[in-house]
Amino acid sequence: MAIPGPLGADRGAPYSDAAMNLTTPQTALPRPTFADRLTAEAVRIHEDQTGRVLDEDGAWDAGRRSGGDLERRIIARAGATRLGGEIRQAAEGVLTGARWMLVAALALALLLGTGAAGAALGAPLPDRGGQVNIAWALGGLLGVQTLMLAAWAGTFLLPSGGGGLLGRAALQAAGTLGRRLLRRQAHILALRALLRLLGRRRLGLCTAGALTHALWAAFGVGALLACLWTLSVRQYDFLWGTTLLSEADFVSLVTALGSLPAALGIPVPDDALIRASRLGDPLPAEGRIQWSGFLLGCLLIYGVIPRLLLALLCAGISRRLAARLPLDLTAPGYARLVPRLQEDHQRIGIIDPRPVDPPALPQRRRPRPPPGRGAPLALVGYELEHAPDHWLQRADGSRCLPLGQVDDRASRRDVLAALDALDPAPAAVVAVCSLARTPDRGAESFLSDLKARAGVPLWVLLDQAGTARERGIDPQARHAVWRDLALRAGAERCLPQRTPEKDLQDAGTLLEALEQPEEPQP
Amino acid sequence: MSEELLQVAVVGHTNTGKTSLLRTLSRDTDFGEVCDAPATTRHVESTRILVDGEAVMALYDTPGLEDAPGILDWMEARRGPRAPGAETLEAFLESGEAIRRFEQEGKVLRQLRASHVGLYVIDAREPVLGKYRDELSVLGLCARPLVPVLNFVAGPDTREAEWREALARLGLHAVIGFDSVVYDLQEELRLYEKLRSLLDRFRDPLTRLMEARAREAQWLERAAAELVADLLMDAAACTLVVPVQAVQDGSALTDLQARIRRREQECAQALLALYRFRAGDYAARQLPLEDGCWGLDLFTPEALGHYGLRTGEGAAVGAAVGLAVDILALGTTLGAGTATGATAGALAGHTPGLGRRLAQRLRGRRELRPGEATLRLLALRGRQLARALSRRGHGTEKALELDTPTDDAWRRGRLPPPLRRARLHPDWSRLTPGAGGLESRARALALGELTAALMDAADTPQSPQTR
Repeated sequence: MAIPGPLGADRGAPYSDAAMNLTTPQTALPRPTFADRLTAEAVRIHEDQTGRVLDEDGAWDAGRRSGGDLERRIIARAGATRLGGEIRQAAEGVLTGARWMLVAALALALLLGTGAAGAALGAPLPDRGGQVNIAWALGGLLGVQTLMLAAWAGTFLLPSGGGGLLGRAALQAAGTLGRRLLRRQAHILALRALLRLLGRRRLGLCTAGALTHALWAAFGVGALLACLWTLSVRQYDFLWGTTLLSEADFVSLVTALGSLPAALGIPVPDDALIRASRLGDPLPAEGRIQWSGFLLGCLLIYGVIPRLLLALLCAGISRRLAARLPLDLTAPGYARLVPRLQEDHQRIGIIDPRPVDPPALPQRRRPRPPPGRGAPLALVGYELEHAPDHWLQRADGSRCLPLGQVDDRASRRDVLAALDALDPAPAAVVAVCSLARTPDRGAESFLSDLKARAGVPLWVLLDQAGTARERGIDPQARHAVWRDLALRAGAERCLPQRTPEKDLQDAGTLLEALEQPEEPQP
Repeated sequence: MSEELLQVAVVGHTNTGKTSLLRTLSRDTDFGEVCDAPATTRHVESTRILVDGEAVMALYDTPGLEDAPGILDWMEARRGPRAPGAETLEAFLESGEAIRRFEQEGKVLRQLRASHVGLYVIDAREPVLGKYRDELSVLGLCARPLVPVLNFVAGPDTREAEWREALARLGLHAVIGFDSVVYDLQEELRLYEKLRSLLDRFRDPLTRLMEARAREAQWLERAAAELVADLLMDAAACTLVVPVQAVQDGSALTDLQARIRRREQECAQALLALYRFRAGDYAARQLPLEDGCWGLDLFTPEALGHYGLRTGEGAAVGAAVGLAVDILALGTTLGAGTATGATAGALAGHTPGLGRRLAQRLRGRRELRPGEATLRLLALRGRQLARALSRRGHGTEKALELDTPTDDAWRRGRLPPPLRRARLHPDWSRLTPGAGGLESRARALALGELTAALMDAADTPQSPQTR
């Protein structure tokens, strides 16, 4: 169905854009027109129907290259598809067809109006030829109209929006008719997209409204013309009658209705003439012109002009709305395009490649006399969790000698100094490490320092398997990485052999190991 | 706008989730390599964040700092106990040590010096150890603002408070909590806000980025709800007309179930793509929907039980044994209380269905459609997946597992009006063969209403499940 508004709006858009561009350099790209959106919508409908996204590399590229916001990209991509091109052409044809359908519909309404006028004037009082009941004729021509106008105004209160039954019905009918008449896929898609866009919320309201009013205006014009013609070439006597109302009521009604036409200079009956025209009274011949003026004036003022104004208003609004109607970007059909159309990141890649593995740390060794039998183990805690409560702090003094805990550079130094000062030498120095820590090169360099400064065997005890497990770390894997690191740092033994379930509670593992010096290292 | 681009270096100790953070910020699940082991990333890799196709920020992923005390020792050996300064760093970077033993650290320091700001990533589950102080003092030599970012703060074992206190003692008060696994828009916005306040020169691009992120989150929420709503409309309206034998031998049911399963899988894929998670490689390592709960079959009693749908009554019983279907044949329908609404609607003229149904009944055909319990299940699962994805950071390696949702919105009571309306319109469903009403205004209105209903019924925030 042709709505002149949206179509004309295409041409109007560039001008309003020029003004916008001055203030916002970002929107320097041409603003999408209604036809653009129509194409995008038609492509979406097609993709929704077939359940498959059109996969044309050129189109994706065009969408990505177009820049700007999501809607622009979607529109650019749809326009660049082969189907999009066809739809764009088809849209022209559909719009022309729609215009013709509008003309036809208006002509039909005009004819109906003529017919209604003929019925109102052609069926006067049966037994007295040439006589017309003025109230009856007016009611027949304006009554339904006025009721429908009230109903139209009332639909604004509905939550889903009405917008005029007649207009909606006309849109529906046009859609159905179009689907029957059109054969080519692109045309059908263009029509469906047009109907769908025109059906969108406020735009739908205004479009349907414009249609409704235009059709009623055509009806009114038809009635007016028919009355004009009939009253020109035939002679009528206008009468009125009432059973229930008083004469005064009727007089004031006619006067009130006639006041607007009278203001325009149309001759209307005065009080005396109205009273004189009552049914049964002798007929005053000179009243015919006034009564005709009254009838024609009422038709014009109450039938044609309001509808015409409303039609123009609705068409104007729908034109504006159509020019800036956004696509419904959250619709699944559009949303699924987004990841491919709008990149939100751009990988630059590796700008500084991975280093070669750092050289093994130099192995120095402090010469020291071998430890005597029964010498204690020197314990060092390395980056332990809950360090103050760790069992290391309470380790038994005769077999184990806690040297302290390390968690930064200063404490490293303190521990190394304490180790230097230890005399006689311990049986071995044990670094108690936590499986909850990620083994790193800092740990490696500390362990190899420890070994170099101690001059006695270095053991690594891996503790806190339970803590690591609670944190979601895989203790087995972590254990393996620590073990590799310990061996690289030159440790003689890495304990315990198997990862325990829980955190260690005391130095038991160490003392056992001390009893079995020959434990093989895998 | 060919202005300078904001350069942000992401630095930190090894295995604190630097690459994960970068993935989450750039919405790129395939950036770099993430693994619970030391020194997974040993190179410097870069990515740019785009807004409307324009770069607003460059992020640099760096290797972990592993031996900061070693560097300080080296510097002290060179310079004596005098506090090191910028020239010490210069000397270090030009020395042979920075290429040999400390090459990894050298890369970090060089990158930080070349950037405008550093994000110092901390694994907030780790205890506050002195070594981080050493790291901060080495990084401090680069003379770039550092924003500490506490990663993994959404978990139960976070030590966020301890960390904040410790960092405050070092004079670092502007600490951001940002979990790269459990995504939170507000946290991300706070991060950018902080950068904006530190770097006034980059106010514009950062503001645009923040606006884009907020806008995008809204759009995503709505688009995801609409995807789920569309699935529900399709399922609710789906009606298959089948010969009686097909109902009796069960082949019609199998067909219907297969259609609905496929449609749900499509919806899941679409949601994954929407949130920019890879659908193609989920089976291999990301989001194996077949695993765990998501793999639960739609039509098993377990699935219904899992979602807290009672299986002891009415249509739900049918659903439990695989008959998630109302058999809408005249005679059963008109009598059955369950379908009274539908029948009333049909009689009221909303569907031309009544006459057609009669005719079909006479020709020995039946109409099959999914039962209510199936619809409820689809709604619960769809919503839950959408919600989980919106809270999932792109740095997450673990597969998505969904547990029982906490909301009751879809478990009890009547189905929302748009769905009940859809029941009367077989031609609204993609699953109904030859349906012609997909673009109808009435379906669009119902879809809009249902989308709004899905977005409104926000359930209580769940405990993070995507860990």
